[in-house]
Amino acid sequence: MTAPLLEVRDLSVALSRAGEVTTIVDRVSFALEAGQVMGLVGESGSGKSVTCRALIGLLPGTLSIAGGSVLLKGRDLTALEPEALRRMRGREIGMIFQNPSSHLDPVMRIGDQIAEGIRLHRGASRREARSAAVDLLRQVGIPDPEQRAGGYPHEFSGGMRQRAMIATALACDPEVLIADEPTTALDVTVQAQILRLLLDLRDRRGLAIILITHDLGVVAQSCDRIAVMYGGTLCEAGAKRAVLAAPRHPYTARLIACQPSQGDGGHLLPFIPGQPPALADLPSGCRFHPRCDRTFDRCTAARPEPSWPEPGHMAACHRALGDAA
Amino acid sequence: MSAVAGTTAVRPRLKLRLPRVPGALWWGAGIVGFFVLVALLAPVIAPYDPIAQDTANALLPPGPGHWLGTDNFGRDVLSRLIWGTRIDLMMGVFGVLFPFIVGTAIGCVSGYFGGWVDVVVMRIVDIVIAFPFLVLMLAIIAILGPGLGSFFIAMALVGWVSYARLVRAQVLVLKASDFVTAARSLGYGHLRIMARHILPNAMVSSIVFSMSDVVLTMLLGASISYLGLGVQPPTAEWGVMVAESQNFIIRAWWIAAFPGVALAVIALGFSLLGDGLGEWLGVKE
Repeated sequence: MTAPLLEVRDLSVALSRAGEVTTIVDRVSFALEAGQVMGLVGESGSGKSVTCRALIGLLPGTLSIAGGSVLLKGRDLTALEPEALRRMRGREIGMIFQNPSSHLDPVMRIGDQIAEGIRLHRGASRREARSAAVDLLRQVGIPDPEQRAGGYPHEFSGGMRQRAMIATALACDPEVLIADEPTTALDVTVQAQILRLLLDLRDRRGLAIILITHDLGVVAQSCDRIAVMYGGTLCEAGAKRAVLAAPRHPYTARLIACQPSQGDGGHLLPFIPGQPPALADLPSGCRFHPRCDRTFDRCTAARPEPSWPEPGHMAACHRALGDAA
Repeated sequence: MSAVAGTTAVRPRLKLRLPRVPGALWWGAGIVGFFVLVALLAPVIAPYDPIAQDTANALLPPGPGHWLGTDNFGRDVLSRLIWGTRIDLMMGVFGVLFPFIVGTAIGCVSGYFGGWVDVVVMRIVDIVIAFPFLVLMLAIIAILGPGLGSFFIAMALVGWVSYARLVRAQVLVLKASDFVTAARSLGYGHLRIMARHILPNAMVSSIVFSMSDVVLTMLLGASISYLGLGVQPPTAEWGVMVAESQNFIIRAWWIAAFPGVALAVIALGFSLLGDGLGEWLGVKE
């Protein structure tokens, strides 16, 4: 069996502020093959964005990787020098963001923003980069790309900006693309188009995609695998069908129950009572136990270790292997 | 049907293409443009040699032959005014350009890298600002010796602080902005991010500021020439003209009045240009 394209092992991220160190991402592990889409799901503050920032070495100043490794094609990115890490960024792991309006340079033409990455990473000439940029705009589905390449971000609509941002990320020809809530800021109709575009690019380029989202509907539509985060830890991970059909972690089960589905109008959606835990003040034992409806004595006493109820399906719950526990 | 679709498609574009430029910008650009034209065409349009003396016709009031009169040496005031435009514009523009370049570069590096570099640079800025501006200028010019070159050097040494502060403040905001994060996620280096992504965004407000700074610099240049430390007589310069005329101000008001008016009008022009530009580019003072 060959090693996966991207393997994250026991990745921890710590926040150090005023001499205090708080672990905000705790021993997260997952693996991703080329051509796979993994949905990284969780509530706000569950550590999904921080995990992905750690992957490409773009953590804000107060955060740092506290342990674990990120293996891209067998090479540990956490051990790289800053300069080598910078060269890896974009070229091997690219990233697109939630709010395309603010993530594009407002005073640079779209075509130039795309061409810049092509020139930097592929050493193309100005003219080659220019035509490659137009070509990328066409690939991401922007009509009339020759003309649009000369436009500025403010002349683009939200969906078009997201397409343009995807083009800037693709310009560096990455193998892994991290999409941090790429559709959250967009209209529902445009959301589906962008997701389809991402899947289409996955098929054509063999791109591996990590899709950060809090929308399980998006995951159900587009992902092969799913990883659920809660309170800075991974609580469940596995193939999408297995996880959505038979969740082994009560948090995942409750998340699925909270999704609106067609035809049940008129009923209030269920919700998970309580708040996500403050990372500075984590509950003892399982981090989900204060909000869990299936707790028993061990939940408050010991943190559940990952267990595998079936091959490739991980759940960090004391009951994951059955209620007999 | 298609013809109708065609016209509706063209209409809004035409509207967009005619930029909604504020009136102040047009007026400012018009006034400044006029003076630039005068400066460029000085040899063609000036009726007399600006430094040729004609003592027989000294202190003539405005009238035919000498439209703005003559000064105490019989030099034509209009010609001196026209030639003086060159010097005064040059003082205004270069007296701002050098501090602008120096200040922008220092402010950008200081804000982007932060840490001890930032601390050191900002303390130097505080020290320079703590001195009265004119006193510091006069001291530097006194050391270097009077002249236009000394004026520019002194401006670069003293004037950069305001640009450094302005740009640094912008860079601090921009370096935490989303598009800079996006640029970093694409593997761009510090130099590329600073030069291509932060600077073009950071410079807008300092460009607007520089327009009003041109006014102050021209006035400063004229004042320093007036004090005898800038442009030296007999070169035609508005400040020099005012300085030379003060003994005759009761008898010959026109020698001082016209350079004064010219200075006021060009100052108005640059102010309007700065305000209009600020409004147009959406900068709040």
